[in-house]
Amino acid sequence: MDEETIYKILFFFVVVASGVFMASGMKADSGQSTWATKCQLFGGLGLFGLMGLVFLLVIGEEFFDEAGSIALACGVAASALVFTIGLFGFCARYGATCRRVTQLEEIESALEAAVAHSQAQDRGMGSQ
Amino acid sequence: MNTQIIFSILVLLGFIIVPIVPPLLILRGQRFWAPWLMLGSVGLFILAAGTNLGLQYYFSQQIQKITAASATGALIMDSPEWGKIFAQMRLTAVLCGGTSVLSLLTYSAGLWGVASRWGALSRRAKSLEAVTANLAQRREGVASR
Repeated sequence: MDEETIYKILFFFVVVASGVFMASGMKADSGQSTWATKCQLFGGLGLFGLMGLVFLLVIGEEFFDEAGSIALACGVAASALVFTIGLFGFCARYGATCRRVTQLEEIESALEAAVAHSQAQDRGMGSQ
Repeated sequence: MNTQIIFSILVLLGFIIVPIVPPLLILRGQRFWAPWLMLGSVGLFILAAGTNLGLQYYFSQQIQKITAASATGALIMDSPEWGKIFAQMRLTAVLCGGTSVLSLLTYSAGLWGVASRWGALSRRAKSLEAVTANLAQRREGVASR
């Protein structure tokens, strides 16, 4: 296998990874939609679309002129930025939800214990 | 150090710091496999980038040595020493590039794991809020009797 083919295969996996980024945005957005998941979804979509376009151009051995290449690079950078902002927002909210769930689970167990204790006291008073 | 090395180190730091923050934000709240996978993939990328930087430095030193030893003071492209270093450089590029792509794939897999748990987690938070509100009402009811 020559070096060029290896690089094409590696680039294919980069496109696959950007597709998984887009799919994770879709999954996150279907779970609970926020601005962050929307950013993640559309940033991932742009990233996947542009990377796929570059891959097809590389496979077809067709290249843009300088202005086209700069425009493509700017598109990839903008999509990556939007995706990163979405990812930061999503992860911050995810962490906050995790902490809230842990807190609520503690409150739930404390309340269950308090209710059980009060009911036991209630039954004890009733039997007397 | 010249400007190009400083610039490449800054870019590398950006590539390392930016992906490290999201899994750390999640790990502050809950510990499960997906953020660890993301962190591990950043570690793999650091390994690949560090190895690449170190070997690039080693190759530049070797090239300087060959150039200094040549009679004309210039790099002779068809010399066996240059051929050996060129083959090593190509192998390094393929291996480090492959490892970086592998780290990108594992990072995306970790992110997929996080995103797929998001819906279930937000539903759990909503149901827990309903349950705690109900329990609090029951407790008040029992206490008032």
